[in-house]
Amino acid sequence: MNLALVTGVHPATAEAGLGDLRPEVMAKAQSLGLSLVRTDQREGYTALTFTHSETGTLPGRPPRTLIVREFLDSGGRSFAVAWRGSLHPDLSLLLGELSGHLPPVNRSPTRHRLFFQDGRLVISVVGTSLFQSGAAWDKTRLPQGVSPARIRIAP
Amino acid sequence: MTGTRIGGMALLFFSLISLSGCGGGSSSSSPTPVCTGTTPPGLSPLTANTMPVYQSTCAGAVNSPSVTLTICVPSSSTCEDVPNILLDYGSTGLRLSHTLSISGELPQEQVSGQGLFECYQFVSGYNFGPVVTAQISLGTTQLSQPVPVQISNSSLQAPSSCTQGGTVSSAPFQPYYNGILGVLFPRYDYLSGIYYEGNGYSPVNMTSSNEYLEVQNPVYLLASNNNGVLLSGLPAVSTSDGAFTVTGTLTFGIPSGNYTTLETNSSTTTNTCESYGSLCATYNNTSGLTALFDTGSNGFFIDNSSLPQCTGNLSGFFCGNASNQSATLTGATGPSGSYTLNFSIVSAQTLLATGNNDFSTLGGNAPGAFDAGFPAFLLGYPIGIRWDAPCNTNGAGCFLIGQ
Repeated sequence: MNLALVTGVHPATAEAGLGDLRPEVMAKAQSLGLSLVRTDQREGYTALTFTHSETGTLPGRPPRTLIVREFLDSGGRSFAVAWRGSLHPDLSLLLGELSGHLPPVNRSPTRHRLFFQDGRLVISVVGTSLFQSGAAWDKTRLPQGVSPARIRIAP
Repeated sequence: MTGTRIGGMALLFFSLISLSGCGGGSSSSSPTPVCTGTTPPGLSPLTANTMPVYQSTCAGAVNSPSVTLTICVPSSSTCEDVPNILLDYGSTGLRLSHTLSISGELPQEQVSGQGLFECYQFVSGYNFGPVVTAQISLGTTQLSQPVPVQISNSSLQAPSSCTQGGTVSSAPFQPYYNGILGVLFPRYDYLSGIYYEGNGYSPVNMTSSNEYLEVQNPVYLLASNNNGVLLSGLPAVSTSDGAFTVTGTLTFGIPSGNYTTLETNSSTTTNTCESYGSLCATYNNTSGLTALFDTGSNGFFIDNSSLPQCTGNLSGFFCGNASNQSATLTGATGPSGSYTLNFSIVSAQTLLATGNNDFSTLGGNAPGAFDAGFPAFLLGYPIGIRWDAPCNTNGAGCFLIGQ
């Protein structure tokens, strides 16, 4: 069990995230207990899909899971990430330095969506208290011809 | 209708994230604006297992189904009728704003002689505050025991373990809600709650011996009519301009009827479209979308990057039109069938210009997801959540769609 994936449990390594090269992505995943389950070669990018699962904290409570999909450009550098699961991912790990683009206070009253964009970062998350589904990308690193519509867990 | 029309406040509502100079949880020197809307007149009376649901009368609270609850200090006659509590299919438990008078009267729960606090993670960010107990009624039925309630207090500095990891702070409840009534399964809110004790905010390990202290869905505490909820009676509003307000009925316990039943995922599987508590959807020629029904989402947040998107204060919403949209929602194993949801999208700019508050065609782009938010409840069909057999595999439940 690696609770570093869960926001609010352990300090994060702020240097990791979007912009990493593949070896850094793999090292980060390993340190977090993520298992590589799938590699997809697509036109203009490579997608690495990782999973993580924790058993329930009490009998009868469901396991907590997380799927993370890292998107690498032809140079092997991460430009986007998608995730889904009942574990709340550490955004500073997923986004790296771009997590600093998020303002400290979300002024939207809507509780089940997080949406933000600026000149570099786009992040969109929806879900409930049981799970969330999110995607984020660095607009300045999006490879030519790759649509943001591809940035999702589903192949 | 006693509420304030949206007008300029809508800009605040739709500004999904605005930059703030304040740190998470820090206090502001200016007075906090609060919701001054009251319970609208003419609602249907409470019954033993029903209560009216109405469009929020808080300024700017578009597509916000709300209820009024009587909140009492346990074992006392000190009570307050609290209107404009958001009815939320997407969270678990009752949470109240610290700005309410009654919030300061409710006794804080204790662990080892120290007060209990909670950091609750919504998708939008965290809410922090003490956990208290309150005596409440659902319909005319008073619960037989006080229920744990979180007081969301944005003036408290949350512990670092709540705020770290790139997490943003959710907006204060005010001025948009006085509280949130989360009626989603399972009973306890452990999947999104982190608990602390004392002013030093030491983490509390919740075990089987103290889980009763956790914030929980109060419907589970009813002696009967406690197997789910059904939101019915809402009208099918105009797709082009919505309605100024709507009313409906929340029923505790699932009435007999003809429903399409979609069971949510309950397994450890991580390679399908489903997460725990979610459905699957196919929409716009894309399958494998994670899907949900949620009264607490003010739009259809769906995977459609081809529609024009708004900028500025409406950023995050569609500013284009799409009629005759269709999505197929399916559940996991068990009693699940499938349901075809037909809907349309109208530009948020067009809808807001009407001055109305309830829209079945408001939406925004959400890669990988199909969030059938409150607009789906304005299509004329009752939608419920059920968590008893045969829906309760591993603590999960079903969504029900009626005729």
